Amino acid sequence: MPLVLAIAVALLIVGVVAWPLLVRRRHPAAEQAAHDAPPADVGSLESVYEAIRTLQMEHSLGRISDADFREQLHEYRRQAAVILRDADRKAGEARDE
Amino acid sequence: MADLGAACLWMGLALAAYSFFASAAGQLRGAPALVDSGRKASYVLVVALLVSTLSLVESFIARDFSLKYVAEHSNLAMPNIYTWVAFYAGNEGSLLYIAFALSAMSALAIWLAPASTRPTLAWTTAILMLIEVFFLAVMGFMANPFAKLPFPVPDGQGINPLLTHFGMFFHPPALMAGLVSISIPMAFSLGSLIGGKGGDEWIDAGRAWGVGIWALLAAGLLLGSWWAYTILGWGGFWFWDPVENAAFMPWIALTAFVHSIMVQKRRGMFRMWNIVLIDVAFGLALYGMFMNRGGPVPSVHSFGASTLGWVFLLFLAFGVAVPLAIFFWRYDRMRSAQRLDSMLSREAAFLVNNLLLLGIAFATLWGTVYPLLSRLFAEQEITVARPFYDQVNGPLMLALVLLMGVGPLLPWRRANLQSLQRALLMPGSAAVATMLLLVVMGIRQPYAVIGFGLCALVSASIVGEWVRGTLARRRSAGDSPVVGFVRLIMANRPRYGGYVVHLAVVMVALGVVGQSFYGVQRDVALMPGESVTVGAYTMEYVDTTALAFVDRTEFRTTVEVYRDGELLTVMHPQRTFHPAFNMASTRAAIRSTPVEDFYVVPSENREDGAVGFRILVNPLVWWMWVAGPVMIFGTVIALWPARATVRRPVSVASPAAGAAD
Repeated sequence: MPLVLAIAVALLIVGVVAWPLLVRRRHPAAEQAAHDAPPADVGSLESVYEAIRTLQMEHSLGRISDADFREQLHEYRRQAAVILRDADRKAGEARDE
Repeated sequence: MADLGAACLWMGLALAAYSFFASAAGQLRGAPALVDSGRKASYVLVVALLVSTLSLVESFIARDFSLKYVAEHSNLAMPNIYTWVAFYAGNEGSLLYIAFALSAMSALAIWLAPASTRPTLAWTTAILMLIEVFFLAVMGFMANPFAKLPFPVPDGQGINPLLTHFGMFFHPPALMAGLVSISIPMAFSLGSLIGGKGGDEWIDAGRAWGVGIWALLAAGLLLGSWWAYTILGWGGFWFWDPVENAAFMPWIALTAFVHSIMVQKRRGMFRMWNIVLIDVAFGLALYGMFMNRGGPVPSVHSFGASTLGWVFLLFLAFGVAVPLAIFFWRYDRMRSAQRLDSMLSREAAFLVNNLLLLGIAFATLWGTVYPLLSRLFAEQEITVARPFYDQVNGPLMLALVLLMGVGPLLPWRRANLQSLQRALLMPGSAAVATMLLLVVMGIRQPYAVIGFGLCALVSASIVGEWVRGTLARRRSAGDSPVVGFVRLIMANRPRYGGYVVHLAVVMVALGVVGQSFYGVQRDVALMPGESVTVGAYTMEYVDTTALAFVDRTEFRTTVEVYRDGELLTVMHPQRTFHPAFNMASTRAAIRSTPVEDFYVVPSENREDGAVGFRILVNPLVWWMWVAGPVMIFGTVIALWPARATVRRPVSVASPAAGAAD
């Protein structure tokens, strides 16, 4: 019984590890396109939104001046715009390919 | 089944080595299929090590005394419930547990890796698998849990009696898994650097794993303190033992990291500093493993008979030198995106917090290595004990608690002095009122008064933040108080989850200050019918019953505890003698309330019928144990994923994008 189980585990390991090498060789173009597609930076966008929420909260509590609030809000909005533009560009490039 | 476990162990070593080479070579050569294969090898490694682990557990259940490890750590009299504890009670089994835990968490980390880390994920995988190779190779060649005896023995030596405690089901696994898992944020940061990314790509993964591991270590440390409190029989929960310190130091460094990483996430600052911090935490974790496994200082926690010290020392040197070399190699790519605008800002508070925490970590390190250095250079061992840590770490910890009260009131970038004064008015008043009240009540120890005052400051500061935030939401969105509060928390989970964790730290501080300054201890010997008064309690010794078992003799004692002349409770502390180990273990009886613990433990059973008791009245210790679940709750809030950032499993590797140049 242990021998059978050991062989089963070994076969599973060899199968899982070898699978990408065998399958991908048949579809090199799809593989290349897939791994070149850059990821959208959703995490960074959420971080910026979170920063804006915190900024609004701190402003509403009177912790920062109106001038600082406007300056920082502008900066965060600019960062969000850059991330969204970047994501659009990447999505467009992925579609073209 | 042991043969299956041994076979899977060797398969695991081969898999980890393959995953390391495939990931690194695939990334260097721009071969996605090879990278993918290496990544899948890291997944299937979990299966191999799970089978190995289950095989060893099954060998314990079957009491297979042909295995040296099973014979050394169990016997026929051991209840099956302790099988899990016996599994990691020795060096070999604990190494298997560590390897399995690291493989499982590495696979999870790789599978859930954020999109931003994917270009360099192969390097991260390679680093994690290299660490796996170390543990599996040590097991394979030097400490194999499946090694067999020349001939099976009829019965084993049994499990160490000190380990037969509920806390042992969680304390060692939590600490071992936590310490080794510091590799994960370290691997994300180094992988990113090797791949030529010196920015913020790794910080989401680094933060999430850093916070999770921090909570795991915190839970492990608290459970260890609880175990020491209830079973070691000296009535304390922290001894500044070298191996305790070895687990404490990486946790402290990780505490600095989980704060500092927030600054990088928010402002793109402290990029180098965060990498230094996680490398320091990793180095300290390796130091802890070295101390635990054949290190030079004996401890109740260490594997005394281990001869693996030099291997772990080499690994420690490697684990410190390589990240340092990579750091200097990529030094020019880690410039901060922003500069510190003002010393009166949230960022500056985090920086001071980091310096204080590192101060504590290095003072503790100094206290831990000083006896060794004195033995080496002065030819006499000078022991460093609690007074050193109290004098050095005590003020630093108080300063940290003060910062916990002030930091949350500071905004990012720069604070307005008037608004800060306004925000500090309520918490500051609460602190002053608390201190005055304590002085009026007769509490005069300066450190204790300041400590309790600072606890009030932090609590008032946090509650004030919640109240003001909820009211602000009510004004802006018209939310009811309950809805407004929930939405406030959900709008910034890392921040408000962190506040809950801060409240848990306040609870721990209450226990530490209460027990340290106002704990009362008496050691007495009583004959049946005699009584003693400690604080407001009078304890009468009733009797002791001796119960003989195959492997031990239990002395169950009955005492009655009175307060103001009224019977409060009947307690049953216990002392057990284990002939096979030639040692006695104790089980304290504790009446625990939020105000104070009444603690009694029998220290000896005399032939004339008298029993030696250690009796303690420990104020506020209850709060320390309640802090554990609160800390976990806060961590869950802080890590709860936002809808927009739900992780997608990695499906495609992209080595070309991040190949080292």
